[in-house]
Amino acid sequence: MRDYAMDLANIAASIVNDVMGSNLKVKNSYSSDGNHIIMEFDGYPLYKSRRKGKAFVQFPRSTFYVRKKDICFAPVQQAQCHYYQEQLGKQFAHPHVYNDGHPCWDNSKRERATDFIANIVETLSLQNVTRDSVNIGHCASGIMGVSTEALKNAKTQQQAVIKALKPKTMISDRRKLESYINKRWCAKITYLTRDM
Amino acid sequence: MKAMIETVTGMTMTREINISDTPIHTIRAFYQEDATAASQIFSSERAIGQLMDGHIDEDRSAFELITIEGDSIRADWKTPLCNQPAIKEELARIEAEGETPTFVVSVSSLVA
Repeated sequence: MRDYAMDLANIAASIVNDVMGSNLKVKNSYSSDGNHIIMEFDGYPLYKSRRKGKAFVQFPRSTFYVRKKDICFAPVQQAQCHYYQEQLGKQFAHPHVYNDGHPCWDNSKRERATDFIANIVETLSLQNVTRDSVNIGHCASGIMGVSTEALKNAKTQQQAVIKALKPKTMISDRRKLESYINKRWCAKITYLTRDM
Repeated sequence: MKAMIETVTGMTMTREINISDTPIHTIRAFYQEDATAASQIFSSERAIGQLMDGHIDEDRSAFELITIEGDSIRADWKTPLCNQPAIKEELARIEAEGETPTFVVSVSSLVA
């Protein structure tokens, strides 16, 4: 029986890869207990390091599924999602990621596949770190400092990511990014459902 | 020109393609040169055999160029890419942006 959960996660990962640039190598796998999918991005420039390494996004395996030939997405709660770097369990360097790796989302969950994929792009590229997000939304951890210092360090890391990965310019425009991701997601799930 | 061939589930392969070739010719040449990689774009062994014999289910198969905005432009399987104006124009736009064009390819078999 075809593993649609993994097929759909592969589609989502490929869209992130398409936007972030081909210097990032993506691979999906199941967690050791089989309950989560781990998206692994190799070639990511590590914060405060000249090295490149791995970034991980872990989310429930039930996030993407097929029911009665329909592609479905189960909204992801922030506590169910984790961003790591270098190794599983090690917090991803981002002002809006907590020490245990789970992100701080404004509405606490991601409702649509497009929104979830766009969030991965924005988190890896640190586009979702703004003056308002650090001053009004506050930082989830002090890994990049707090307030103005967090913003400054995030911008420095953002530049390092852009320089190393050469992502599409649309990453800085949420509307364009979401539109692009939505079109690609819809086209790909259409191809997939043709052969169901 | 250099182009990315992408499978439905997102696996990508970089290929040198000739825009004076038809999509069907491009995919046949791909399979002849690298059967292992190319087989990932086919839904079944049967689809491979049919394409190599020049047959394809054009309704259920796809050879689509991804535009800069993320839309898909469906190519005709039996017309050279350079003779398909929408494809040719978008390839020029993509080239002007300094990006590599991506074609999403999926080949399904004809069923009786």
